[in-house]
Amino acid sequence: MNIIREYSLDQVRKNRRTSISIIVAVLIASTFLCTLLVFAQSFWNQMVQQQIYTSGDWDAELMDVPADRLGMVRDNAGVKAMFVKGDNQTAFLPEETALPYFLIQNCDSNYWDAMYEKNMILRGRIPQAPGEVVVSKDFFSQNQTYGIGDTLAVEIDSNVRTHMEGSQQKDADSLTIVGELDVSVSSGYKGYLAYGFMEPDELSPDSEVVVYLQMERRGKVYTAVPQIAQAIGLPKDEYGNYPCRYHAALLAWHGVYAPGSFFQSDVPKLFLGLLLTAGASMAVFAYIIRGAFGISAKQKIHQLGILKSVGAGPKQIGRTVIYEACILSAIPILLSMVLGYLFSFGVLSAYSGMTSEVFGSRMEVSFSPAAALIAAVFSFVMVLLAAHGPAKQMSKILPIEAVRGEQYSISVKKAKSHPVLAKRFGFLGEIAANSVNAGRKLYHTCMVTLSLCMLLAFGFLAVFTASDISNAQAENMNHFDVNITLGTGERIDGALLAELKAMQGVQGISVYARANCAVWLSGSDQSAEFLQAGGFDSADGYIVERVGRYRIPCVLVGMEQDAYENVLREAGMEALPESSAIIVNSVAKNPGARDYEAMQETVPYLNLRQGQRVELTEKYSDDTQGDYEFMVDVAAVIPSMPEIGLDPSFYTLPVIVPMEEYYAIIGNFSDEMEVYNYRNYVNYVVPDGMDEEIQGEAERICSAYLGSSDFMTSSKTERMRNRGRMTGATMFVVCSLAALFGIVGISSVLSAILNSLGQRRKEFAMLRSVGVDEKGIRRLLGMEGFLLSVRPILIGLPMLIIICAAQCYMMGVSIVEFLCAFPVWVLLMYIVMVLLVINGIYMLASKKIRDDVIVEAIKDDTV
Amino acid sequence: MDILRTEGLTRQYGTGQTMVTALDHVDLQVERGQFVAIIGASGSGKSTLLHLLGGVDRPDGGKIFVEDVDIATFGEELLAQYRRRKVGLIYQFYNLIPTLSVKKNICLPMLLDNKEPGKERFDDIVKTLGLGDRLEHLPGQLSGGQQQRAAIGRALIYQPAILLADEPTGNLDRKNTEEIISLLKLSNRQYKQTILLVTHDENVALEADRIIKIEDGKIISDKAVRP
Ligand SMILES: Nc1ncnc2c1ncn2[C@@H]1O[C@H](COP(=O)(O)OP(=O)(O)OP(=O)(O)O)[C@@H](O)[C@H]1O
Ligand SMILES: [Mg+2]
Repeated sequence: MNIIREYSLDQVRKNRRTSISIIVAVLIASTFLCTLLVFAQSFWNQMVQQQIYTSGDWDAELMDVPADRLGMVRDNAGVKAMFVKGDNQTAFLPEETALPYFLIQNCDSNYWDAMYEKNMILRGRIPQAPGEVVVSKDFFSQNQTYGIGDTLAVEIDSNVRTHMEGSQQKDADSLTIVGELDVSVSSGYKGYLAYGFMEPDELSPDSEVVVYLQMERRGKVYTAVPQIAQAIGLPKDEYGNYPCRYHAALLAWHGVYAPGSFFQSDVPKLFLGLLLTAGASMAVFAYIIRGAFGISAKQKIHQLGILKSVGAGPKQIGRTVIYEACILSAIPILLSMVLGYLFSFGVLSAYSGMTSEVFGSRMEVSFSPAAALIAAVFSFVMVLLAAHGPAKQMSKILPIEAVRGEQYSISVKKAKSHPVLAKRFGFLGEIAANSVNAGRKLYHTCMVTLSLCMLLAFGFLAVFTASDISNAQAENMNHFDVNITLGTGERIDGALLAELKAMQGVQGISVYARANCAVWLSGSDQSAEFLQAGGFDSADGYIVERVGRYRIPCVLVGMEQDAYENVLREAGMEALPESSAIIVNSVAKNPGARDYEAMQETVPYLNLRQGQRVELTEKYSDDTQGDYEFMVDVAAVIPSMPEIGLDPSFYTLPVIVPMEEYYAIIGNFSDEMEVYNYRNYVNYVVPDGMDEEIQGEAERICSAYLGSSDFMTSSKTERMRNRGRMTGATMFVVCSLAALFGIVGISSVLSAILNSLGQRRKEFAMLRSVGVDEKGIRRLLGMEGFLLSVRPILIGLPMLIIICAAQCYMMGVSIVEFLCAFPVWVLLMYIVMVLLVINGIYMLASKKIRDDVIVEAIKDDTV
Repeated sequence: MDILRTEGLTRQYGTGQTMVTALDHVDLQVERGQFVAIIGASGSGKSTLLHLLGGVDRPDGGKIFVEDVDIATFGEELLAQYRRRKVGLIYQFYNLIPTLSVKKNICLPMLLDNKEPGKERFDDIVKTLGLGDRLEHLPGQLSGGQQQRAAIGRALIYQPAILLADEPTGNLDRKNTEEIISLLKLSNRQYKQTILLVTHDENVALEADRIIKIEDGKIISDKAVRP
C-alpha cells in the first residue's frame, strides 16, 4: 500500500476522538443534505402525481385527427404511446328518462389507463368493451329507477361527418351502464355526459378523433408534435398553428418549456431556490467540518513536518488530509442515506398527516437511487471542500515550523489584559481571558459555527413567520366570508345561479365574471394627477408603449343586471341602451409603497368621461392568441371599485358591463380564452360564525348541478383553519431542519472544546504544580466556559434581531404580531441548550482535570 | 568542486524589538566527501544553519548552492525532491512518525518515492544500528537512543550525497556515540558522502576533517583537522 495512504489510515485509527468528531459532523451534514433532497423529490413527485391525477399522463394532444391516420401517429418514431378519445355519439334514451339522451365520448383502453377520467368514477368500473358506458351522476339522481349494471335499449346517432349533409342515420343498439362518473354538462345540452369504450382500429376511417401522445423524448415535444401534425396532413388554423395542445403544467415539472416561457414558469425558480438552499447549507457545513479537519491536521502538524523534512512533497502532504477525508466520510455518507430517508420519512409523514385535510391527499415519501447518488455526491463535494483548506494550509507550511509544532506558532504578541475580568477575578480572570485569546482560532470556529447555525435556522423561521402574518393580513382585508368559483367551460346554468342567489341567511352577495382585455390610449389620456405621480411611463412591466401608444391592461367585469343598475344609480347615471359600461377610474398612486395604507392610496387614472366610446381588445398581451376588438360606451365613470370581491391588479382598468353583454363579448374571444372566461364567482357576506354552514349548503347546491372538479368553495373559517394547519406543518418541517443545523453546530463545537481541553491538560497541571488550587481551576474553567457560550449568543442574537426587524419592515408586519407568531420558545431552547451543553462540558472537564495526577499529566505526551 | 556553498546566508526571527538574527551573512564552502563538524554555544545558530542547508527552512537573504544550483530558488515540489534524494537530515530531537513501524520509518524517504530499499543495504544499516530485532515495533516502544539510531538509519537509507546531523549523539552514552560516529565515518568513506555534524562533544568534533565554530550567527573560526 502507498505509504501516504497507509499513514492516513493509521492516523484515522489512532486519533479516535478527532476521527469520531469528523464522522459525526459529516454524518449529520450529509443527513441534512439527503433530507433536503428527499423533501425536494417528494414534493416534485407529489406535484407530478397530482398533475397526472387531475389532468392525465400525456405530453401533447392532437385534435381533429382522421381515424385513418392513427397508424401513422402510432408508428412515428418520436411517439412512445398514443391514446384516443372521440368518435362521439348521441344515444337517444328510452322515453321515461328526464333528459332525452346520452352524450357519449368513446375512449380506447390506453386512454382509460393514462387519463384522469378514471379518477372521477364514483361507483362501478371503467368500460372495458364496446357498448359499456359510465354515466354522469346527474343521470342517476334524476332517474332513480336506473342503476349500475342496467342495459338500456337506445338509438345511436353517430356524429360522423358524412359527405352528404343531414344524412344522419340512427341505429338501434344497447348500452350497459358500468359506472357513475363525477362530471356534468350544462343543462342546456339536454343530455347526460357518458364515456364509452372503443377500439381505434375499428373506427370508421372518416371519423375524427382526439389523440393524446406520450413522447419518446419529452424534451423535443414542442418541435416534434407540429412535425407529426404536418406529417399526417393536419390543416393549420387561422393563426398558422396546427390543432395541437401541450400539457405545459406537467411538461414544466419535467423541465420542458415552450420556447420563451422558461422564465414565466415557477419550476425553474423552485429549482434555483433548492440549489441555493443546498449550496448555502453545503457551504455552512463545509465551514463547520473544515474546523474539525483543521483540528485533526493541527494535531498532526509535527508529524507532517517530519514527513515533509524527509522529502514528502506538498501534494503528498495535502493528500494525507484528503485521504483522511475520504476514509472518514465514506461510512457516514452511506449511513446518512438511511438516516436521511428515515428522518424525512418521519417528518414528511407527520407533515402530510397535518396537511392531508388541506390538500385532500397524503404526500408520499419518495427517494430514488438517482437522488441518493446526488445526495452522496453533494455530501462528498462538501467534505472535499471542507478538507481542501486545511490540506492546502498543511502543504504550504515550512517543514521546520511544522516540526517545532504548536508551541512556537502561538503568537508572541503580548496577551491583551482584560480589565473587567482582572478586576473581578484577579490574576485567574486574566489567565482565563488569555487562554480564550490564545486559542483564538478554535474559539473563532465555535463562535462562527454557533451563531451561523442560529442565524440560518432562525432567520429562515423569521422569514417564514413574517410572510405568514402578511398573508393572514391580506385575508382579513377580504370583504366576503364565503367564496365560490364555478367553471364548467360553458355559460353557468341559470338555475344553479338562481339557487345560489336565493341562499338563506346571507347578508350580502355578489356574482360576477371577469376577462382580461386591454385598451390602447395615447399619453394625453392620462389624468393630471396620475401624470404627476409618474404616469404611464412609471408603470414599466404593466403598461406597454408602442410608437407613442400605450396598452393599458383592463379587466372586463360582468355583473348581474340588477347589481349593475344599482352601481349606476349610486353614481346618478342611467344605463345606455347598448354596450353600456361603467369605468372605475382609479389607480394606485404609489404601488411600490411598503406600507399597506400608502399602497391603497389612489388617484384618478384616465381622462375618460361619460358618453365616450372606448375600443377594447382581447389581446391584452403579445402572447394572447385572439385579437377580437369590441366597443363599449361609457355610461358612468366611478371613483372606486364596487365591493364585489374583485381586487384589480396594479394599473388595471376595470370595465364593468351587464352579464348578458359580457357573455356576448367573450363569445367572440379565441376558444381557449372563451372557455376560461365563462367562470363565475359568487361571494357571500354572512353573519359571524355562519360561514361554514353556508359553505356546506353552497357545496350541496353546486354538486347537484356540477361535477366536483367544476366548482370550488371556500370560507373564511376554513381558510383560516387550513392556513393554521399549513403553518403548523411547515413550521414543523422548518424546525426539524433547524434542529439538524443546531445539532451539527453544537456537536462540532463540543468536539473542538474537548480537543482543546485535552491538549491543555499539561498547561493546567503546570498551573497546579506552581500552586493554583482546585477552586482556582474550577473558577478558571467556569469562566472560560461562560465566555465561550455567551459570545456566540451575544453576536448571533443581535444579527438575528436585525434580520427579524428587516423582515417585519419589508412585510409591513408589526413587532408584536411577529413576536406572537415567531416560535420564541424554540429560540430560547436553543440558547439554553448552548449554555447548558458548553458549561456542562466545562464542568465535567474541570472535574477531570482537578482529579489528574500532576506528574502524569505533565509527562503525558499526546500521541 | 564544492558540493555545498553559501553566500551571505541570513536568517532572522521575529520583528522589531524582538528580532533575532540567528544567521548573519554566512559564507561557507564544503567539498564533496568532507566530514565537517560544527560547534558553538547554545543559541549560536547551528541548528538554523543545518535546517537551511537541509531545505526545511527558508533563508531571509543569501544563496545556498548545492552542486551549483541555488536551492533557495526552488519551488515546493523541487525542494521536497531535494530533501528526499539529496540530503539526509537528523534532528536534534528524534523525530519519528509514531504510528509507523521502525522499519517503515527508516525506509520512509524511499517509500515516498514509491521505492523499496535494496535488501543488502537495509540489512547492513540495521545491523550497524543494532535495530535488527526492533523493526516491527512502534517508535514509542523504543528507548531514546534506539529512536535516535532509527532516525539516523532514515537519513542514510537513500544514500544521500549530503548528511546533516544535529547533535545525533546528544542523548547517547559513550559506547553508542562511538558506534554512531564510526557508522557515519564509514558511510562518509564508502559512499563519498558529505557530512555536516553539529556537536557539543569535543571528542566527536575531533573525528572530523574540519571544524567550524559559530558564534552569534557568524563563523568565527574554520580549521582543518586533517588534510
Ligand atoms: N522559531 C524561532 N523563533 C524565534 N527565534 C528562534 C527560532 N528558532 C531559533 N531562534 C533563535 O535563533 C537563535 C539560533 O537558534 P538555533 O536553534 O540555531 O541555536 P543552536 O545553535 O542550535 O542552539 P542549541 O545548541 O541550543 O541547539 C537562538 O537565539 C534562538 O533563540
Ligand atoms: Mg540546536
